Amino acid sequence: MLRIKCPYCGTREHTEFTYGEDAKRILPDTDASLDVWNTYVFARHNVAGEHLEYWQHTLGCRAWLKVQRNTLTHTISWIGLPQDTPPQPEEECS
Amino acid sequence: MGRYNALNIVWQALQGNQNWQRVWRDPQPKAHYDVIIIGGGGHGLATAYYLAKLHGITRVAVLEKGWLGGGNVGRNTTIVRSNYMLDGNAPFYEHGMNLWRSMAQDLNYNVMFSPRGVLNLAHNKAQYDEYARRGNAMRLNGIDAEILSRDEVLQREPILVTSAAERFPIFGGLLQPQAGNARHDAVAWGYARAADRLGVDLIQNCEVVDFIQQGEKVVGVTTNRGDIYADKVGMAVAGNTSRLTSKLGLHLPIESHVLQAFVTEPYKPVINGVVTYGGGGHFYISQSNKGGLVFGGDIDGYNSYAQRGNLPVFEDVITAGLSIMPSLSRVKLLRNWGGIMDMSMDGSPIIDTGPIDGLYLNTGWCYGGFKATPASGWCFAYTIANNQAHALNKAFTLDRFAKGYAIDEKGAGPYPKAH
Amino acid sequence: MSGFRHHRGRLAEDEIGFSYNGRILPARVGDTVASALLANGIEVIGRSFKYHRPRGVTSCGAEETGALVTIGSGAAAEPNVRATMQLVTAGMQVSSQNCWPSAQFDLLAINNLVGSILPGSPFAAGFYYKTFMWPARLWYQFYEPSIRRAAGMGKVPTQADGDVYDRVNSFCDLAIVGGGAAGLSAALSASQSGLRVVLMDEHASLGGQLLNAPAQQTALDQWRLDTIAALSAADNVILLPNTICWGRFDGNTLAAHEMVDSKVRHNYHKIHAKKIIIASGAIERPLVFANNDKPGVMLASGVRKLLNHYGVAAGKKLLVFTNNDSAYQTAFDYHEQGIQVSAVIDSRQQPSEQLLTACAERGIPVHRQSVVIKAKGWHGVRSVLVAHLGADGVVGPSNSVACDLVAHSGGWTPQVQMASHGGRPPVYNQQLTAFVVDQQAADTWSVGGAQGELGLYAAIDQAVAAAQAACQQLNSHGGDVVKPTQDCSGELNIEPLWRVPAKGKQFIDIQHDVTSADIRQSHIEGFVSVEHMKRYTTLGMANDQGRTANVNALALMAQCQGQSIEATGTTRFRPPIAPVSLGGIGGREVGQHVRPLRRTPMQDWHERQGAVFVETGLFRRAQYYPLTSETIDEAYVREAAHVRTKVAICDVSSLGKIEVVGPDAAEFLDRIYINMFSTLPINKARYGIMLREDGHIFDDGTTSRLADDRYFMTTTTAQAGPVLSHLERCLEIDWPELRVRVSSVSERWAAMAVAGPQSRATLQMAFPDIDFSNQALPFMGVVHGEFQGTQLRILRISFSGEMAYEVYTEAHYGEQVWQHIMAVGQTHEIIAYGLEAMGALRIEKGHVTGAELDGRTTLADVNMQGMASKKKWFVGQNLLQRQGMQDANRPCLVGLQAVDPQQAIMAGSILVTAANATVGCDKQGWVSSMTYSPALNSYIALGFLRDGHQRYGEKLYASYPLQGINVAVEVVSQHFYDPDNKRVKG
Repeated sequence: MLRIKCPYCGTREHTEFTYGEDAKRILPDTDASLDVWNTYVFARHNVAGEHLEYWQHTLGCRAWLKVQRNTLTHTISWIGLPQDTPPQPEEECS
Repeated sequence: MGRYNALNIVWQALQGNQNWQRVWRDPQPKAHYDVIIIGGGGHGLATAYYLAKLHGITRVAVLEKGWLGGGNVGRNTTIVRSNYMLDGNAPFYEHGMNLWRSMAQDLNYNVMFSPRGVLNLAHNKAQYDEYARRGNAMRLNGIDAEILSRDEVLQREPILVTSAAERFPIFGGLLQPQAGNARHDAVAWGYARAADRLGVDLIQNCEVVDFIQQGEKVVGVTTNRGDIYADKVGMAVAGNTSRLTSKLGLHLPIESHVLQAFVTEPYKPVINGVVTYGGGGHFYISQSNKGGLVFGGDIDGYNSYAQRGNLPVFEDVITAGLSIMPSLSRVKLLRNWGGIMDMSMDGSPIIDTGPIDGLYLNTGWCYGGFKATPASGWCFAYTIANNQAHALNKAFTLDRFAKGYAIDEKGAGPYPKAH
Repeated sequence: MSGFRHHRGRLAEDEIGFSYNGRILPARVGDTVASALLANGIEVIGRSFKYHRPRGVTSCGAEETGALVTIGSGAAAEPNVRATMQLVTAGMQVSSQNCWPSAQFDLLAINNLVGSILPGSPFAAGFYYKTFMWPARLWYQFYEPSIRRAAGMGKVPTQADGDVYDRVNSFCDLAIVGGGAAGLSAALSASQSGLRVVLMDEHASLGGQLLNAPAQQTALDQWRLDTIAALSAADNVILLPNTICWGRFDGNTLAAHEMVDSKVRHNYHKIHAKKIIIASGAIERPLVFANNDKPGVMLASGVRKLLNHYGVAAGKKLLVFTNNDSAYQTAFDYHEQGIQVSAVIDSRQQPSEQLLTACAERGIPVHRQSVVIKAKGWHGVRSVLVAHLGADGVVGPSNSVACDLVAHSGGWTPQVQMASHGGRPPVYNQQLTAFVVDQQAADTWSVGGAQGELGLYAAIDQAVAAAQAACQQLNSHGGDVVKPTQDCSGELNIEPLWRVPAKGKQFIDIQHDVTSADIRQSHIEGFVSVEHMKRYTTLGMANDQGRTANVNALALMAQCQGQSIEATGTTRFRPPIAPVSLGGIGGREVGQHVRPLRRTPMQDWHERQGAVFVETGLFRRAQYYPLTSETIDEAYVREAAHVRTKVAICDVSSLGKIEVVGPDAAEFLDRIYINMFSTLPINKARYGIMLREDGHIFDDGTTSRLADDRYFMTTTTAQAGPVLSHLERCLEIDWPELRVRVSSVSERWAAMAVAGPQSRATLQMAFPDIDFSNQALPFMGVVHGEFQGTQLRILRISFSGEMAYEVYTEAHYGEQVWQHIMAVGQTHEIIAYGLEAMGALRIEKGHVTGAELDGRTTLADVNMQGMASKKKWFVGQNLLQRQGMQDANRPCLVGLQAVDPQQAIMAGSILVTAANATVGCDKQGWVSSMTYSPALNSYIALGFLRDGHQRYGEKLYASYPLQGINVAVEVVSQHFYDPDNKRVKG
């Protein structure tokens, strides 16, 4: 089982959390073009390797967390709050 | 090459089974093909077969990075059905049913398609009404469907001995009698053998690492066995689509997720057809010809390229199963495995040309790809041969998302983990 | 009938009785089913999977391939139990399986006969892919049903299991898998560190292969007993015998089944370990010769353990067949006990002098450089054919040697499954002639037999070193372990013999009837990948997952391909390592407990009133309150009519309730909802719709403003969770600058709708301190009050279309307030109404619910596009502009009235123009919900119809081909009842 260290609650099993989505997506401006919006809603990098993503601690403090996890091994290398950035830029290995 | 039949088996047995021919050749890749199909899974092999058989395109190579049929066609719960409601889906899957029905004879390979029925359980009137809408739409689309009462459901599958402790009592169900199961490996091998006999080169241990482009146009692929050129390059690499298309700078509406499946020890027949359950949790089950109970449930729910799952979904699937089949608690689990699914943004697939010249996409099957194998191959072959979609797959375009024509059977929205 | 009880072994003297196929037989306490059956001289226990050949006991442990039985009967039956792993208990029922009429004489053995007449079997690998195809329908009408009946092993019970299973979550510093000498030593070392240690072993007795040795070898036995005693006494060590550790998952999570068999049948342990030591040992590999599947052919180590631990001689005349040193001990121990050893057949040219001398001293003939080419006998072995092994195969004539027990050993296979879960695949080690893990997963050590170390002292050293390393990484110190005074050499001096080069049915996978010919054939047919061979021949896919078969099969494949075993590789190991019960994994989350049941504060009241309930998500909501012998239809029509004429009350506590608080709350809601909430005055409520990012409708509900910076949102029951997560997501990720907090108050408030012309009068009587007049509390107004000290929040909103109020009160007092309203409402003949009546009322009114908002609908589809504000941006606005979302062809919401008012329009019908809908007809829409309307005295429905608005007055058919029903309907506005909303405002 994945074990996620919530900055507020400590290490918990991932069953307390809900996977959110790709954290590299950034909400476009409200008046951005439809193309930009389509890309935001539908396109995914879907990285095989280090993946920056959101999880919510739904059965805990309900915070949304930013997590860097390897999608090949499930190793979590960094966890922060949504506005934080991981210490090293993730490497996309495809 | 000899045809398979009972006489042939006895004849070979008389020779000590020493004179069987190879099921497919082991060719060296050529420098150029008319069509390259990346991915030697069910969809890729079926595409190659129909390209050769129906469109006369035989200079075709199927490039497989591992062994033929080693992807999701070799690790699924073998369910074959066409119980779809939406018009974008229904004719496509029903065309597939027709191909399933004649597949063994067509391929001269017994893929063991058996229409033992697929039964969706409903647990309240609202669910029953949704199934009714689906069943009625199926009927008007020429697909077989029956709506069953609780008693009829219990009569059909006596293992659903729903004890007094039913949390989500069975209300009724929707049955597609002509749906059922097929032997998954045999589908891959049957298509492989038939394609090979039509001259298609099936090349194993040949991993595509990049595309070769001339200007924008895709004109070939770079592999661990050298560069291979082709007029057209089709992709059927479920689970790995994004990894490859990212080489072209394409970011598709796809997320890769792991789906677990399970099989028990073999037992004497106890479940007649396929039963699916959507009360507390998600669960579907059937019994293989060997006697193993084959079942599965939801995806693990987070992006994954690891072919293994984790315990929470493991437990969830099994508890859901035990809640409708309580006597299975003394049954023993034999094997659990995981496969990588290309989950799309509306739960429906993409079979389309482009978006880059020379490239053809076949992806987004979520966890329903097995049943689609023949129809997908048939339509993808048509699309590659004619540079345009057939009427059956015209709704499965890549640009349907941008244009607002999602085919969302579940109504779950652009959240791949929800489909 | 050759096995017998020879001496006591390590068992107690106490005798118990059990039944086998209806016969009562004696056993000792501590016997396994296998040892007890052998002690009673029973040879054939069941039949094999495909050829239905006789099967007996082949081992003495988890690797058992032959003796599968059914234990118990009825609901308590467990099929496919390995007889070697199941302890006998008094009165236990044991039955043979996969045979008819009996294990001794089985009709389907015809399969075997046919295969034996021809040079090759017509039932060889993959034969079923090549036949049974003409004519097509015979496959599923005849062939397949016959195959299915013949396949499978035991029978699944048909009644619900009465036993209880538990899940156990535990945490430890060090988990040790395997309780042999290595595992015990690791535990003993780590126990001295004070760290928390868990040790699991799948057998009932700890000790692993130490139990193979005679109990008289006191040095070993005493060490084993002392070590177990020390561990049992240590507070920080948990010993779990009878526990199969079957899988390793992410985060160092181990899954294990403990066979408890008392009040709880199995405990399913999820062990979160900081460090893991794998000491799962090695199992013996069979040799491959003709008829090596016959009852009486057993692994040498199993034969030895049966004698020394259980006191059971598996035969009266032993023959040992080996390619290594380890099997000699079996011959020596049998000889020591006075049982005849007819010969040792050793395939090696030069076994060590020491062994040869030892045999000579005991008068045991040794046939060097010889092999058993075939076992003979009708059911069990009665003799073997022995021949000389030359460089290119068997040479010279074969001799018959009489024996009734063949103990064979082809070397040892380290149990690497656990080590390779979550780690790297094992690699072939030529010296060991086996696969081992060369690169361990994080926090993991493999020691002893599991890592190919077969010597006792060496294994202990390895285990202690691993335990100390693990302790050190956890900032602690593992202690030393005193070794037993006697070592057991791990020297095998093995010379690989992957297959005896002779003819006949040589079984590789005994359980699945896969022979060396099958493997050769799969190679000839081009199945060159290991995975292909496995799938084509089904090798390794039986209950034992090919524990004993895999390495032999890989070696044979490599031979066929003319390449090394290393190059051939191995298949991937998947959990579970051994079959485990589904019941254990389910634990107590079965039956009623598969999902928690959510109860509203008034649930008890509904139950007392005899309400009929319906599942809605995790809630079980009151559907209707039947009077004596009333049907559901009668009840809901009565209840709905009552709302329209008098007053009635409905529990709506399951609605999601969210407080939205903060200086930017108004701005936030403006972004979330399609309509304006910043303009909403305090103490007013407004109906709102929110969209998903892709522009489809997400949820709807009424939100009221309690203060400038405080709103009270309600959501639908189904979307309460997703809406809250969505709000939190937007605030934390997209708009962190907004000063807003949201929190779920769903559990805090009980909610009840009081509806009907008398609702105002009723509430005025119930809460006289509050002014319910139209001026003080107009439609969409909010008022606050108290009842006996508990808070009230009353919204004048209506779902039913009548004058109505939603009364919110603190959850703990929900029933009290409800009862108070019921009591006061007697004057106005108040009743309770359920979901079904609520549905009738809202359909009359044209309100939408989940049946309409099914995740595919747009605002325009439900005629709500006018509600979207043009003055602001909101979530979903951008993608709502897509072509397909604006397509004029999209069906939109209409009302449907039955042309014959008494003919029900079925929900789920398809709307068509022809009276008899046929395949391929134009599907113009569908019926989403229906009811009988007491207000209109007619069946009515809501549905979606292409060009719906232009078609009011048109006659269509609601077609329900599933039941051959076609109902004539007229298209009308969705607002059947009081379209001008006069009644709600009155």
